Amino acid sequence: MVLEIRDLLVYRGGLRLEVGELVVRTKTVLLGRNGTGKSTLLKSLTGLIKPVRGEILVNGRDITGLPVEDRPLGYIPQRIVKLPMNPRSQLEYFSKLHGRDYRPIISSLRLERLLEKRGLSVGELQLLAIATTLLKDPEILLMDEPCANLDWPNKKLVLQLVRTLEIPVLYVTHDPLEALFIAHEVALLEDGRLVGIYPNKEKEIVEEALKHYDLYERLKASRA
Amino acid sequence: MDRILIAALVISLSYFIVLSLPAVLVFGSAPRPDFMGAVTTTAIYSTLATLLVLPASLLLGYAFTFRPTGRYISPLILFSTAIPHTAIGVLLAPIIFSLNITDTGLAIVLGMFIVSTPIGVGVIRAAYAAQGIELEEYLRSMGVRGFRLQWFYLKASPTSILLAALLSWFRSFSELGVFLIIAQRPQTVGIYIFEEFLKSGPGVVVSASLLLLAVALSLAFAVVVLEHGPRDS
Repeated sequence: MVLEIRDLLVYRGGLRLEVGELVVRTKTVLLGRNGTGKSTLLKSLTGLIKPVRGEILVNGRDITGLPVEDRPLGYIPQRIVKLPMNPRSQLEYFSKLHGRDYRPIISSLRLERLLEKRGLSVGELQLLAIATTLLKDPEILLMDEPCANLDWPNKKLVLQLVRTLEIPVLYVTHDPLEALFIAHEVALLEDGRLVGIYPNKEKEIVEEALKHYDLYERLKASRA
Repeated sequence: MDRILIAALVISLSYFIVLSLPAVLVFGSAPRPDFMGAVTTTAIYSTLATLLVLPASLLLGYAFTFRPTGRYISPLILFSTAIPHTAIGVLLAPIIFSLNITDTGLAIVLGMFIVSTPIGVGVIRAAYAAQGIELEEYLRSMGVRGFRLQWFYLKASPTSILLAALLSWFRSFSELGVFLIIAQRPQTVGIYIFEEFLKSGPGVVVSASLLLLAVALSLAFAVVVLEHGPRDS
């Protein structure tokens, strides 16, 4: 499965966003500072913002003109989505809408504990949102800073889950460590322009470093 | 939360005592039986108007919050908060006269609808804005469309919907200015007090006014409880 963005031009507020070519085959992280157009790019891909020109292809099919609801994409917005229903009802609702059984997804993501839980933490809400989104069976998953509002233990849960996903992911973040932890490729966005795409050769190094800096776990282990 | 509720109760009672004591001492007398008739009439029409205001508020509140065109047309609905209600009555008069519904229940409900819709819309708008556009964006990306989107916002805002209904009902119940122009009959409570005051002075209507104040403060207290009770999800 592959997402291709070609010659995309988007205006939003005072921002001009231009992406010549970006191909997402595995886990691509879109890295950039605040206000560089990362969220704008994701919203253009979902159809929430109309581009001035350009093409968006999924597996060779042009989806640029498709309504938001019909695009074969999953989208996790920046703000945590909390639907007004308990986790099981939420999964059942979208299972029915998309004709899929939620149990294999929940089982593969090891999220069974969330089903009966009330008062989910923000991290758990994010995990639930990812599981819910997968019920749509998206061909590509777009994630807009899904860890932005999470504390470290929750962030770790979400990052590890993202790594296990088997579909291509375009993951937006401003955090280089997050990028290096997840990405096969990192695309750098600056002032509305794609500066370059770099293969991530430091995944293992970052994984080790994050273990070292995981004070929550280390202090717990030292106390035990 | 308890402190807020106690403070609200103390303020309500103090307000009632400060306003009521001098009036009772100077003019005190019991409300006349026809007063209760006016109260019942007003309550019935307020309920009918609220039943119309609520769906309109839900639709308009959604459009004004999330649709770009909604932001531009929202001043049209808010105009009635910015001008005297006798002026609204004058502006409504040509419609009421041409429909030949002057001094009818229909005119009263229409007048109540016009003056209380902005309140309903305002409450719903605030509730939907708190839920955020991200909810809608996520749901649309999940294939949810049309009125199903609204259903999610409704389900997420039960307290605000109840508050919108309650405040719209209050606003309808307390209306006078519009009715002075387009519907003095059936007699609503505002018209009753106005007419009795002109006819006989404050003595006859002061106890009626105080009774209304006591009821209003109790209901206002209920709103405070509602606002500080369980939040919308």
